[in-house]
Amino acid sequence: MTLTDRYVTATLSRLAEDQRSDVESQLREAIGDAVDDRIDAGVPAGQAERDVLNEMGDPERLAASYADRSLFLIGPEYFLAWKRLTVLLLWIVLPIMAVLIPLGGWIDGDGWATILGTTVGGTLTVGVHLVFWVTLVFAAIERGRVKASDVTEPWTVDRLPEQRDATVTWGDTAGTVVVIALTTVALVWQQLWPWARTADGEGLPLLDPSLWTFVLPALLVVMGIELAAAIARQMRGHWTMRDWWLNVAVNVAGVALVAVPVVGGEWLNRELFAEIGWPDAATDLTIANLEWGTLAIVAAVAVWDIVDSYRKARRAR
Amino acid sequence: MLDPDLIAQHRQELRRGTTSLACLALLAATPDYGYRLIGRLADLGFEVEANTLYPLLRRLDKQGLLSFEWDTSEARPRKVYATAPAGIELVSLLRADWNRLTEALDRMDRP
Repeated sequence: MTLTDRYVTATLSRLAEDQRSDVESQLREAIGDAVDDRIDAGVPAGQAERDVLNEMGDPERLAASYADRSLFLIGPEYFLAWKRLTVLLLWIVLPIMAVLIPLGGWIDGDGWATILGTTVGGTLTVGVHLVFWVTLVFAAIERGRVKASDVTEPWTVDRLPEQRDATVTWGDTAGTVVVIALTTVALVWQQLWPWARTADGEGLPLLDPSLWTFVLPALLVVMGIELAAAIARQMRGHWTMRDWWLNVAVNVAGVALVAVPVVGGEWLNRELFAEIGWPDAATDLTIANLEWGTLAIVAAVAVWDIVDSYRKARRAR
Repeated sequence: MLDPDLIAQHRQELRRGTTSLACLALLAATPDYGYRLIGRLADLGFEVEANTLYPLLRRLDKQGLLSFEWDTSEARPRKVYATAPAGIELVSLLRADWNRLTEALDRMDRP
């Protein structure tokens, strides 16, 4: 088999059956004419053949050119639709997975290291799958010679994004105030008016009463700072990056204040649970599960708040 | 001093599409086979690679703009392409467009 034969075979193998004989005759003509021309000019035969085939280039590229096949996965017609859909789906699906997977692990009673591992691994896997399948569908559409206008809506000015207001909304501030007020009331309420009592009438608060030596007063102070910051922001009327940094500090402090007693196993009042006889033999849940669940919710809210306030602060710049 | 890459990029954009027109126009004047057509194009300043020209000829043939006959007078059979009536019609259309562009450019004030 000569080099030319191998080149022709390599090209034809990428073409549909009914195109092959036609392309083969043309290709042999093209290579033969070019080689003869070089030999006439004094180039040795073997060298001439090599040079010509090198100039013809990658057989797969040549075959794509013959078959009018695109040499890209997703072309400019579909790229934006692909990108928007991928980003949208990732934003919808991944947060749901990041909540559901640890919830499932927690219900199964897994340790926190296992939960962390399965959450990171599972979310990543779902993300990779999502990008892969969306890309596969778009690559198929690209090759199916479907017109882009049949699949995507043409762009009009109606699709321009809303110019979002950088000012602080009353709704945001009211929300913050209400959440802080309710949490404060709940903290005090569970201590002063506990819903369970021992046989001799002593109150049993939900949270470990020893937390009042430091953790709970500190939480109240942190919430007080957040409240003051929210009101100051409302009066100022717009977000600043300093608001964001303060928000990060407040959230980190809040999570840390809950995390320390949860790790030490003294967030919930063990005496209360002993008194009411729960968790009993009918459940696999432990008090520690409840504590870690609380921490997970507090941490999730804090992360969301940090991300959300970052967007608002950046928009205001 | 202009960046050579920049010039090459703009030249390529300007020339894109002129190869088909040049092929159709040349083959309307004298039918020819691929390799000699590359030479004729090169003589006129159209640098076209073989791996571009042969697939192009086949595409123009499929579109009914070219027709071909086998030349078997030599050891190697060759497809001799000629511009079909539809191709000639397209050449005159594209040539008119091209001339309009040239006139428009001439009318513009030169810098």
